[in-house]
Amino acid sequence: MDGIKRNLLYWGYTIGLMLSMILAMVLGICIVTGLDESGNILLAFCATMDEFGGMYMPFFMGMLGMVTINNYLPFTLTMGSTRRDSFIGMEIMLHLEGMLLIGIIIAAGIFSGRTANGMFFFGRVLLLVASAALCNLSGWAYLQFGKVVSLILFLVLTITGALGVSVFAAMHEAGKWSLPQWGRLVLVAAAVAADGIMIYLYAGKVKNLEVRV
Amino acid sequence: MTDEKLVCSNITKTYGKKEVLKNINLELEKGKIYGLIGRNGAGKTTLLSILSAQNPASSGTVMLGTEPVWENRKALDHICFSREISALGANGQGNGYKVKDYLRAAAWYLPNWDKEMADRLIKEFDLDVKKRVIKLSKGMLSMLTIVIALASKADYTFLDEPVAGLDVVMREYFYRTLVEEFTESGRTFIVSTHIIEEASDVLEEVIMLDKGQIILKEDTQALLDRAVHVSGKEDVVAAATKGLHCLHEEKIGRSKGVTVLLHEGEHIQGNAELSVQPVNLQQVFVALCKE
Repeated sequence: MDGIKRNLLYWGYTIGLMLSMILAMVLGICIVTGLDESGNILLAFCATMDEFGGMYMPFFMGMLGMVTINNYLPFTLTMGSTRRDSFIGMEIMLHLEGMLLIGIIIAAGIFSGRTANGMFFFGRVLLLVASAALCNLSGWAYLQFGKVVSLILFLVLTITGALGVSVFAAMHEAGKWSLPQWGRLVLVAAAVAADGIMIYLYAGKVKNLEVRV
Repeated sequence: MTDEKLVCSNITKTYGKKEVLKNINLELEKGKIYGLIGRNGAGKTTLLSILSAQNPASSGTVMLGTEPVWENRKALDHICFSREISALGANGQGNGYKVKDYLRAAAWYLPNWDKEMADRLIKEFDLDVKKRVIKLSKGMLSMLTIVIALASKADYTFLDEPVAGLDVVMREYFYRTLVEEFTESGRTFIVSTHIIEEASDVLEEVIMLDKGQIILKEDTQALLDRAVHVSGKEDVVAAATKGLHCLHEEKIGRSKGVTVLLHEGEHIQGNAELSVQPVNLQQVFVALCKE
C-alpha cells in the first residue's frame, strides 16, 4: 500500500470518528432537549442541523485544524509516514468529510422545508469552502504562532464570520439586500482562493514539522 | 528485507542556541542489537528521531544504503522508531486514542506489521485494547511501545526507554522476546536505556552519547574485556596506571581506585598490593561520563 493510501485510511477513520462525535452530540442535544413538538428525532435533528449547521461547520473544521496539527499529524510521522503523504491524505479527507457534513446540513435543510434555490446552495457551498480555509488557517496559525494565538484567531474569525453572515442573511430575508449572481461567484472564488493559499502556507510549515521530543 | 547500512553523517541538531547533537557520525549494520546509552539530555531521543526522520537534522544526512531517509517512504518502510508514549497525550500521540486505535494505525502504516505477533504480545502483557491510552499506567505505556516496535518487523527498529515502568518479570520477558525475535529475524535493534546492567547481556554493541557527542561505539564484550578497575595504595596504583587511559579516579584515605580503559598491547598484572578487577558496563559508562 502506498503512502497516500495509508494516510487516506488513517485520516478517513480519524476525521470520520470526530465527525461522528459531532453528529452524535447534536443527536444527543435533540434527545436531551425533548425533541421537537412532534416528538420525531429525525425532524428535530434536521431542524437543529439546519438552524445551527452554520455554526457547527466552522467550529468543527477550525477545531479540527488545531487538533490535527497538535496530535494526529505528528502521530502519523511517528508511524513512519512522510510529511508529504500525511498532509495530502489529511487535506483530501478534511475536504471530503467537510463535504459529507455540508451534505448532511443541505439534506437537513431540505427535509426541514427550506426552498432549495440558488441562494440556499450558495450559502452552504460558501460555508464549506470558508470552513475548510478556516481549518487550514487554524493549523497554520498553530504552527506559526502557537496554541493561544491560533485559538484566539479561530474564535475571532468564527464569531465575526457568523455574525456577519447572520446580519446579511437577515437583511436578505427582509428584502433589504440582495446578492447578485456575480457577487456570489466572487465570494465562492475568494473562499476557494483563501483555502488554496492557506493550504500552500500550511504545507510550507508542515514540510519541516518536528515531533516534539 | 534490506541488507543496507543505516549511516548518518555529520548530524547536528540545534534548538535555538542550544546544540543538542554535535557532528554525529554513525554507521549501523544489519543484524545487531545496539545499546544507546547516555545521561538525561544527552540527545538519545533526538538522535533516534533524526535517524527515523521524525525530526529534521539542522545539518547532515541520514542514508539507508543509497536512499536518503528524510521524507522518503521507500527508506522509512524499513525503519520503526517506537517512541516512549506519554499518558498526557503529548504531541504526536493521538490524544484520546484507545490501545486498539494505536494498533489499527500501526497496521495501516507499518508495511510488515505482524498482527499475530502483536496479538500474542498483547495477551502476554495482559493489555486491555479497549482502554484509552491516557488511562494506561507507565508500565502499560511501555508495553504498548514494545508491541508496536516488535510487531512492526521493521529492519531497523528503535526502542526508546522500552522498559521504563516495567516490573522485573516483564523486563525479563521483554529482553527474552527481543533476543528471540533478533535470532529469528536478524533485524537491527537500537535500545536506549538507563537500566544498563540489565540490558548489557543482550547488547552486542554499545553507543555512548554524552553532551550531544558519541564518546564511544564498541562491541560490548571487547569493551568489557579492556576495562578494569585498579585499586591499592596510591603510589602503587599511580605507578601501575602511568601512561594508561584512566577514565575515573577515586581516593579513600591513602588508597586509590582507578578505572582504566586498556588499549591493544596494554596489560596490568594484579599482585598482593594491587587489585585488578573487571568492571561492568554501567561502571564504564559512569567512568566515561565523569571523565
